[in-house]
Amino acid sequence: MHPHYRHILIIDSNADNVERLTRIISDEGFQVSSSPDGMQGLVKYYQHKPDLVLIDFHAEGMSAIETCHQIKALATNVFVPVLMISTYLDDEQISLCVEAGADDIVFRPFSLAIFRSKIYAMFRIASLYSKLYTLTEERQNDEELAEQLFSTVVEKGNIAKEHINIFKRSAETFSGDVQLTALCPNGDINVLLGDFTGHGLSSAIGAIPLADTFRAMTDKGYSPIEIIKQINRKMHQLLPTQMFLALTMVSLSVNEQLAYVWNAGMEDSFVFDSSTGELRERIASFHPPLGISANLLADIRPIVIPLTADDRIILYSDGIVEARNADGDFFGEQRLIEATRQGFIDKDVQGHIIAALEVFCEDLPQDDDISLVDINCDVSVYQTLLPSNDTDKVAIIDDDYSSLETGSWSWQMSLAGDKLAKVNPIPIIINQIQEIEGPGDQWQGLYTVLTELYVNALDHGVLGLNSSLKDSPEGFAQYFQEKEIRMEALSNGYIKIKLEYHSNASGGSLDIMMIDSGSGFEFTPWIEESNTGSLSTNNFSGRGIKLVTELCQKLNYHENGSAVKAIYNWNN
Amino acid sequence: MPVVSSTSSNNKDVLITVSDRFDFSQYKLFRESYCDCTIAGTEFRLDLSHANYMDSSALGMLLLLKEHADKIKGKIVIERPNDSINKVLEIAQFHHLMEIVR
Repeated sequence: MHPHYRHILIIDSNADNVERLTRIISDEGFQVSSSPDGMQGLVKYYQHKPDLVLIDFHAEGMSAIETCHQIKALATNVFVPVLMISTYLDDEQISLCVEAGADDIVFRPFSLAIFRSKIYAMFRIASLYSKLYTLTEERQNDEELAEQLFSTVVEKGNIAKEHINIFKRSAETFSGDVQLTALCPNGDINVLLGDFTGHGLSSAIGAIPLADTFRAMTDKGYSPIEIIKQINRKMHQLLPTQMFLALTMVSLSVNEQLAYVWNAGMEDSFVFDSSTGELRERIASFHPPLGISANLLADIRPIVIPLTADDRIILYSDGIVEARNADGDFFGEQRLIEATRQGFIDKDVQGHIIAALEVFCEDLPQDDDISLVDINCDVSVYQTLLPSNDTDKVAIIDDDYSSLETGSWSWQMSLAGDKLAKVNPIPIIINQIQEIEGPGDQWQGLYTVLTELYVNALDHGVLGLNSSLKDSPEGFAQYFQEKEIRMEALSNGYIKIKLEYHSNASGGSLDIMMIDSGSGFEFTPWIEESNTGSLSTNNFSGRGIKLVTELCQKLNYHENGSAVKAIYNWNN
Repeated sequence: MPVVSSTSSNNKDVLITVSDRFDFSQYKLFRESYCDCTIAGTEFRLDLSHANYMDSSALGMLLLLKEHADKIKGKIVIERPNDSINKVLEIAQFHHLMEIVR
């Protein structure tokens, strides 16, 4: 700043002193004003908003200490240096001056050179402060903007907030923790808790692409593992070497009443029985965080948990167990488990955990974000999420496309050999249908039908897996392990899928034909059981076919089960 | 000194010792402890027996060291982490990425 624009205020009752200082200051090119006592000095401060204040310790009226104190209190968003001037001060007076906010003291008599140096040194400090103010303000603005963007883009899309309770408290304005929920086309629920390295703005780089990938792929019906693979690829491209994303993903299968859990670098996830508060199961990290390597480990498999309506899954980031008290002790897992248990008994999990944290940490500020996700596993509560058949909406879609309708079409696809292991055709088919027919609620049921038929053709047909393995929870894991091995080795075999679409007066129907290279499988008992309604609820296998028979008007297996025809109907 | 490094007489090993807290405050010292060593096949041994805390930014620093070691076809070995640090390494499943000797 040009000297001309700097203003210095002198508060001194001695006219000779004032005159001398005024001359020196003016000679330097600064503007100057003066006041004989403290009270008037404050008025002048208001008038001129000076850049530096000189106070004689023996100025009359209000004491120099009080004047200094008042001026510092007035200068809230700007640094105004105060220079005390005196012939002598004892130790106590000096410390009083500094406590009141004085930035330096100069003793009379002083040389012109010393006085000038002091003034320039003060201005140098002031300009540092002003840079700091500007930077802090810019950072605050940036963070507020990011926070806004974050809450609209990232968190606004979350679903089922009354059943999936998300609690978070950020260490800084902006959090490195991301909590996402989304609904799959077949009614399943995907929940993700992610923790980026560090916090503040830099950890937000990955949050938006993470949320976009998670939502878009869940919407399109990609499987959780495909979503995780894609997130890993994105993060690997995007994040610098030393940054990564730890995450837990839970996929609640509403139809199967199972939870599939992936834990990559997060603290153990918990399954609690909410009726007793008992910790039923924990899921430890089994994979490094995402974004470190271009590919996931070869043998990644989810932990599969059969659910009851009382189960609640608790996910949390390390900030909660690493919260510290004044002695430097961690809050730790045991306190968290105990607070959660009490919370379930008293039906207020979040309240109990917050209270326990507050009692433990008192008012100590925390280093890391704290976030907790509490998932209600009573799958029946999620059934209302799938949009009901809204006839008005379907009618609008039909009006839009009616001029293009020429009746029927058919579409087919064949997959063979290792392509069967690499490609999931169901999202492709659903996309194709939606390309042709436009979006509609009827595709959700169709999605389930196609998936079940395809999985049966692949698992029992091409791969020749025996589904009786799935009769116990342990067998479930074994089943998926075996599937993984056979997929890896897959070099021949095929699945052909053909769809025929017919529109009719009340809606439409889709004939689904699927044939595979396998020698068939035992399908009759399930069909019979589901016809008589006697399918044992303890059986893990056979649910797929039961679902398909419920959703389809007709289901017929041919060639021992290696060919299937289903008719899926809907009304507009 | 929180980070000390020494090179063995055969010039093949670099021993890095991190004491006390292994976190972002050690970033510069930690990086300096290995970045000048570009001899192919160097083994970087990271002694954590004197460290008592490790956070996620330290995991990031390990990844940077690994990147450096990979570049010169060297390797890294994490030695003697205490229980709490081992827990951090275990949650991050870092044994899939580098050798850890307890």
